[in-house]
Amino acid sequence: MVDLIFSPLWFMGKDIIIDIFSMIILFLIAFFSFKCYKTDKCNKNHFYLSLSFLMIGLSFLFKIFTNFVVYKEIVEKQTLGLLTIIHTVTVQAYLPSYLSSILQKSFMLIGLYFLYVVLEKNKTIIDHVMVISLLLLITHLSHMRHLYYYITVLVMLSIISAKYYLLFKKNKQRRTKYLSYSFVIIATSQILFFFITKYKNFYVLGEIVQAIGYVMLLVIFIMVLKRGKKKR
Amino acid sequence: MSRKRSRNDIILDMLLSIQKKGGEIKPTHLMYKANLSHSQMKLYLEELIKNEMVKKIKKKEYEYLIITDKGCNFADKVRQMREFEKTFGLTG
Repeated sequence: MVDLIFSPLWFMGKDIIIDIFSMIILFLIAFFSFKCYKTDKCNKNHFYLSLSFLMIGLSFLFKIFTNFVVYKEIVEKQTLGLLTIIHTVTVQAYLPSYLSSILQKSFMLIGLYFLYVVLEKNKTIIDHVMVISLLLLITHLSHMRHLYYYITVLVMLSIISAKYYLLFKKNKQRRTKYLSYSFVIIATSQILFFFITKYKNFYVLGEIVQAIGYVMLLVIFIMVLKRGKKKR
Repeated sequence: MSRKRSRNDIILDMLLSIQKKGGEIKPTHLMYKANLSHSQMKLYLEELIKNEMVKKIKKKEYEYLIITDKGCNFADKVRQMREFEKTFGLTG
């Protein structure tokens, strides 16, 4: 049976709030990008960026669902001893949580891939099919070993951060530099998630660092909107 | 070499030219400021007037074009879009 509980008891629920916040930020950017696509249909990059943020946002939604199902059982069985609780949870909440966890991982990886596609043009359909198949395979393998998933996310986020930093070198936009930093922060949180199966406090730390990355993303998005309005 | 201006780029340039002139401009000035040919100017101006982003007014026998609130809002929207494109690497 796969371990579904990474959070220490005192942090359960708080992580859901943090994830809801991150999800809202991702949906906001996806919505704005989709609105831009509707205004200027010639630029397909808006569509891919919107799709990418939507998928990453949905990944958070599935994570929230997984945690919600698991935590709900814990609250219901709290009168029992801790060992009994965890055993009950893993048995009763296994199927919905398993499906939700698979969806969470696949949406996150494919979402990150779309973000990479926006930055790295000239990809063929064959490239997309190959990479997405590989990502789905990793998702399947990582269900038993979470480390595979976090390593893959770390690699993808590192590439995206590097791409944004190279873009900053070209366009000299301060906000692009901050964007690359925000992805570095989110990538760092994945390193902390490597240790969550052994040390639950790393989950808390990882969630906080990840939230900082998403808050930075929100700040950059607000900067973009404000700057667009300023130049009258 | 700079890329060909899109429809939105041209409309934005026209609206910005009017804004820079304090919200009103003569049609010939707009043509030069927005770097348009006469036929392009006619085409885009008709569209802007039809969409109520720009209005024609008469002032001392001269015809002027003024930008409406809807035009200002559209200019803001396109500018935000351009900033977003630059920041997130969505250009071209």
